[in-house]
Amino acid sequence: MTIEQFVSVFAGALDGVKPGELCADTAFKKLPTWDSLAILTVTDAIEVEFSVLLTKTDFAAAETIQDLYEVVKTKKG
Amino acid sequence: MSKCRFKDVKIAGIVTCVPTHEKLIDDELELFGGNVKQLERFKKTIGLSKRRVVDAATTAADLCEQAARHLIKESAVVLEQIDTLICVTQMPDHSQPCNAAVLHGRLGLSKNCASFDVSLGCSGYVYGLWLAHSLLASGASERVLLLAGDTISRLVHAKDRAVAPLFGDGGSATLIERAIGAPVAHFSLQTDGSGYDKLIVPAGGARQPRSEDTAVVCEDEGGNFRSLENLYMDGAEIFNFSITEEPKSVKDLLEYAQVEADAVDYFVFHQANRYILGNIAKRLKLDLAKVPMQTVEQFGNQSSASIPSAICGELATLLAARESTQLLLSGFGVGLSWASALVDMSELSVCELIDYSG
Repeated sequence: MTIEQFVSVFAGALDGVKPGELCADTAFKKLPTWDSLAILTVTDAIEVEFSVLLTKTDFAAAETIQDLYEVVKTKKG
Repeated sequence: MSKCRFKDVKIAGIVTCVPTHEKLIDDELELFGGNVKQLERFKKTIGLSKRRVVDAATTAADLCEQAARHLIKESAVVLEQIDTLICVTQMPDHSQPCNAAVLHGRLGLSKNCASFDVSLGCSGYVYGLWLAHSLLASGASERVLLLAGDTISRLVHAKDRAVAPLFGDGGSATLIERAIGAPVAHFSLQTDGSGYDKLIVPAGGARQPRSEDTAVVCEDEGGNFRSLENLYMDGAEIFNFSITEEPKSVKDLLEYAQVEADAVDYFVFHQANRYILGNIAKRLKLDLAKVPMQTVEQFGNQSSASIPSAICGELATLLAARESTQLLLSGFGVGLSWASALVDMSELSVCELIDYSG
């Protein structure tokens, strides 16, 4: 799992986001389509792709996509 | 995991009763703060469409009673032959006595009839079937009437986007009988009580009786409104629970029963919403044609009535043809509680979805 892969999976799970629009430093909670539904679709995509289940707390603690990437990396072990 | 198998028990008939009043998500733009794009995303992703709800005077017992009367009439069962009545509901008419006692009286069942409630929701139908099978297989009962129904629409706050657009209402009646030579039925049942507060109505029980304080409506950080007397759902946690535990539970049961997924004709999951159903099916690599999903889109999440509703509404013709009768049923939700069953439904004398006529 590279950060590029992670950003691409993250972006693919969001509606109305064009490829290349997001990067590791994107503060995802500021995206216009970020809401409770986006948490589900991103959780799903990351679980399918990287076999890691993110929780509400993980999302709450993260600011950028990079932050979430680190959580997934740690959970993958 | 608690797993078991029973023989010599058959499911003889199922009727599900739904309210007639329909609510359309398109009429509820205000729930999404007037944001058309957000409404469209919820419709597309979650599969929100419409749902059937009761009025403030109708209860789960009413829906179940009509389903039971229709089932009794159509299956020509003699009332005196019903020796066990099990009611599964999260919304009994009274805090006591139980719905089973109330409905026993209303249906005019024999005094020689054990009657009791089971307080479960979305997993409750499978739990009820398991109980019925256990009683019948052991000889404790000859004929069980299982009534499973809920009116969760009456528990949600109209301005809580996390639950209001999801829940509909329904009541079901299922007749289960002792029948020597009936195919073996397999069950698995599980609980994770550490998640009891992920789907909860905090007030109204003995721990926190209703009061002026519990009726106060507050807005949460997500902009949703509810009081302590309303249903609260932690959507993200329930989603995570569903996509991890459900596929595991289904796989384990198939392995225990030594049945390949291909040999199952239909996977009837609790009709939570299309998104969760699709995600469970995806993780189990199931053919979507074998996973009924229309029920939730038509009627909403009917809690304990959702599985019988899907059977009666989507599979009645196919079951009547008696060719595709091997069903895997699986319910999951409040508790947290989840249960799966592998049953043969080739002996249904009645399988119908009816409208509540009040």
